[in-house]
Amino acid sequence: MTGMARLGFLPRAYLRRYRCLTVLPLAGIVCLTLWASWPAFFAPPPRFALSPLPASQAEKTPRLESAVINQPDPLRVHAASIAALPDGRLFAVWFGGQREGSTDVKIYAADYQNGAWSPQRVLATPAQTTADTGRFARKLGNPVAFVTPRGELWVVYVSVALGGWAASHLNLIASPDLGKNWQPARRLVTEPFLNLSTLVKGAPVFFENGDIGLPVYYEMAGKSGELLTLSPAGEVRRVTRMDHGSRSLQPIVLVETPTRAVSLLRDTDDLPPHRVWRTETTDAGLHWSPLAQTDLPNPNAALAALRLEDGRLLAVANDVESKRFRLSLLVSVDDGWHWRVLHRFEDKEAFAGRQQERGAFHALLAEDLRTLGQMPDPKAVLLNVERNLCGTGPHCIWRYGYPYLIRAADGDFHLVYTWNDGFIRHLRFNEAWLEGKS
Amino acid sequence: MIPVVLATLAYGLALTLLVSRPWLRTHPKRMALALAAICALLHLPVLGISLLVVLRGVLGDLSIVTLVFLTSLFFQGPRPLLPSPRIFTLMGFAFFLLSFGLSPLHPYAWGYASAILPCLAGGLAFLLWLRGRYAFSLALLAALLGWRLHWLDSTNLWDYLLDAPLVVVALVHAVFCALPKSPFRRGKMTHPD
Repeated sequence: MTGMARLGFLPRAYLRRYRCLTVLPLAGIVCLTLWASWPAFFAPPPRFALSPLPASQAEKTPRLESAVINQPDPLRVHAASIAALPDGRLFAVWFGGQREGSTDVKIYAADYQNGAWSPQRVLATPAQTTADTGRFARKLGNPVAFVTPRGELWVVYVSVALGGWAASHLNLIASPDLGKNWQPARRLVTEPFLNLSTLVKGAPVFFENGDIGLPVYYEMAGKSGELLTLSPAGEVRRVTRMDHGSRSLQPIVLVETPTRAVSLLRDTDDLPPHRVWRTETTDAGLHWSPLAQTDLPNPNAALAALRLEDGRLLAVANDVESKRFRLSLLVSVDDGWHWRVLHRFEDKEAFAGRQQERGAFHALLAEDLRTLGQMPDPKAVLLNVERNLCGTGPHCIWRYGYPYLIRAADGDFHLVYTWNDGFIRHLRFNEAWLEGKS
Repeated sequence: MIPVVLATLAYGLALTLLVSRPWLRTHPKRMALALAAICALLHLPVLGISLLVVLRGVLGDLSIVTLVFLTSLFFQGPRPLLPSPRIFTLMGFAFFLLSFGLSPLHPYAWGYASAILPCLAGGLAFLLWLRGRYAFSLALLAALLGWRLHWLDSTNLWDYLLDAPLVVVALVHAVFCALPKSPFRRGKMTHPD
């Protein structure tokens, strides 16, 4: 059998007749290769866009406001994120269902306008994600909302077809009119093996050319943070890993200059000490330094952080090595190596290490409710939290986690986090309150 | 739209080749009819969801190289299987193992906007053409073309060159070839390239 005949699906007579023209296919191969690789030769190196400076706050009175965003149904909620919209509104998303990972989990959203949160609404479901992407999605997970440099509101969220979180995919839904209308969800292809195992948690960073850098993470055989770069149209431009092995995930990226940024990562190492990991880039995320431990304790829990205009880093984290009974505001003046506590948003350290009787738990919970601010029916809140934290046993434990922190254009800070598994708490504080704690 | 068409074709070809029997393979018209029927069945909703949606959700889209190989198999009858299964198995395993995040190398990242990988793929296509392995060469060129024209949802060239099902098939085939009683070892079946 001749080589030409191996083409199989072309007529042999045709191939024999034009055998003398073998140079043409070779020239075609060279041209096609050059054409395919051409754009990469002229791609400029990426540069981070620096966040615009927030408005200087004339208000000198310290202010800390609290609200609960969601309703008691569904029973469990988690992984909230919040975006400040250009028109002054806030937009929050989270997932909720009977339990994390159940097939009834949906992505919920609410708006904050004129000092109050709107009723929650469903933003995405497994069925809708399946219909939009043309790919089966059985359950949903972490969503992250943000406004792109083009002024569109995007939500990137996790879906799973089979298996657990290690088998996650990312999906993107975009709203060109800041949440009034949403385009169909589309799947982001980010991993080679069946596109499995990319999840999202951290707030995005932006590039000078309008690209969006989304801190994501991989957790299948290994666990590591990644910086996923998307074009303004939502196409994946590149993925860079921050580490290898299985000691870290859920990165937060804090940009300092157009080429330099620090990333802080959740600790997933089996071995103590359990500390937040730190890495940095000097080429706008193309390469990352080897991970090093900071002095901030971490109980294998997500953290949130942002950079202030004077260079200080601000973080909200569970600053303990085990469990999530405390959530603190911390500051670092040395680029994330060392941290000092400014304030405890939640602290049940007195009950750490021992389970609590329901009676004592009720009393403390009722006390907490007085500080929550806007919320649904307090009885429903109590019932929900008790079901989540006490289960069917006689004892209860407290849980606060998954913080997400942003700073709006007016200078106010907005923090959302999971409050006792059943509610998304929103805290808003101003610069005067922060400086009062410093 | 294009990714759905290509996925329908790829999974349709794969299923047709899987279910077809020799009496069917010797009749091109029956094969074509079987392919058309299976492609239609892939879109038929059962309990509100079609098989294609499940396959794309669980396995993702098959690569362009796989699609070209399946097309080649479909037209060539039962004789050839994958070209160079050992190379594919080795490449695929190394690639997927490295992508699992256990080593500092992350070859999947090279497939996005780097000029190196398309140049390597083009260079390999050039060499394969010179050596007379036209099907393999055309598969690589189709992958390059598809990547540049964005035929799949992915923007990564690796997803046009390689996929996990292809590597698994290559592995099974390589193991089968290595068996003492394999028909490949006895010369009953030959590789196309």
